[in-house]
Amino acid sequence: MASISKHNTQTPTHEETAHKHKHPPYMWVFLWLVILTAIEVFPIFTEIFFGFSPVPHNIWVPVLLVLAVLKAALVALYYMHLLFDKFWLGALILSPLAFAMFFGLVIAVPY
Amino acid sequence: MAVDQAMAPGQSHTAATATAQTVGVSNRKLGIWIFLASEVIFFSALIGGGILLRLQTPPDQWPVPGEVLNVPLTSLNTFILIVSSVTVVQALAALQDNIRWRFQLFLVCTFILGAIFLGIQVYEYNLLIGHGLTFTEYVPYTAHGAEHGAAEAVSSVYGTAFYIQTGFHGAHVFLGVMWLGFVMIKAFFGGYSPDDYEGVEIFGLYWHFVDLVWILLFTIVYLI
Repeated sequence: MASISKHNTQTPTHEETAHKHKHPPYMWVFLWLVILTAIEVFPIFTEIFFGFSPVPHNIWVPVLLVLAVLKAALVALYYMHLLFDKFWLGALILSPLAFAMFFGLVIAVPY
Repeated sequence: MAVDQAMAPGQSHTAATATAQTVGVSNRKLGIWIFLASEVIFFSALIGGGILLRLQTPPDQWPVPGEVLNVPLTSLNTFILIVSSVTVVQALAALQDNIRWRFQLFLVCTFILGAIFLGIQVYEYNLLIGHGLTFTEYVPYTAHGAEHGAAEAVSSVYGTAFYIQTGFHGAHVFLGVMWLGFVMIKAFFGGYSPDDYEGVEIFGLYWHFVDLVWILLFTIVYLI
C-alpha cells in the first residue's frame, strides 16, 4: 500500500517520497512476449530469407494459434491486471467472445 | 460500498478508496471494461468475418504468408507495439512509486512508439497499394518484387479483409495515441499522483487491449 515516509521535518528526498508498490513482473512478461513472437515468426523468416521452412505450414498453424492465445493471455493477465483484479472483470471481457464463437459456429456450419 | 480486501498490485488506489463505486470497482474503471467488452464483440466480428471469407475464397485468390505481406516489417511493428505496452505499465508503476520523471518519460516513449507503429502501417499500406493489393483488387506478386503467375488483377476479397481488419486496428491505435496526448499534457502540467492514477490506468487498459488485438491479428492475418 502506498505510503509516504516521514522521518524528519526536512524536505523529504526523492527516495523518501517514493511510494513502495509491489509490481507484477512486467519485464519477465515482456521477455516472454518477445520469445513467443520470435518462435512464431521463425519458420516464415527462414522461408523468406533461406528458402525453406523447418515446419510444414499446416502443422505450424495450430501452434501459432496456441502461441497467440498464450501471448494475449499474458497481456490480459499481467498488463491489464486481470490476474490481480476482480474475477468477474475477466468474465465480463470474455463473455462476448463466447457469444461470438457461438454465432461464428452457427454461420460456419453448412446447412 | 465498503472495500474489504487488500489492494492488488494492479488495482487502482482510487478504486479502493473512492466512493464512486457500485460493484467493487470504480465506475470509471467499470466503464472502460464494459467498453472493452463491446470492442471484443467488434473485433470478433471483424476477425471472424475475415476467417469465414478466407474459408470461402478459392486458395489461389488468398495468398500464402509472406507472398504479399512484408512479414519482417510487420514483425518489427509487432515488437514496437509490445514494447509500447511495457512502457505504459512502467509509466503506471513509476507513478505509483512517485517517480515522476520516469512516469513522464515512459509516457513519451509510448507516444513515440505508437506514432512509429502508425507510420510503419501507413508505409506498409503504401507499399501494398503500389504492388497491386488494393481494397477491391489483387495483382499476384511476391513481397520481394519478383512477378509470378498472372499479372492480371483479380477481384480481391483478400484485400478487403486485410484492409478492414488492420485498418480498424490502426484507427484504434490512432485514437489511443490521441488519448495518450491528452494524458501526457495532463501529466506534464502536474496531473496525476500516486493517489490519483486511475486516468493513466484506464488509458493503459485501452492500450493493452489494442496490443492484445494486434497479437491475434498478426497471427491470423500475417502468419496463418
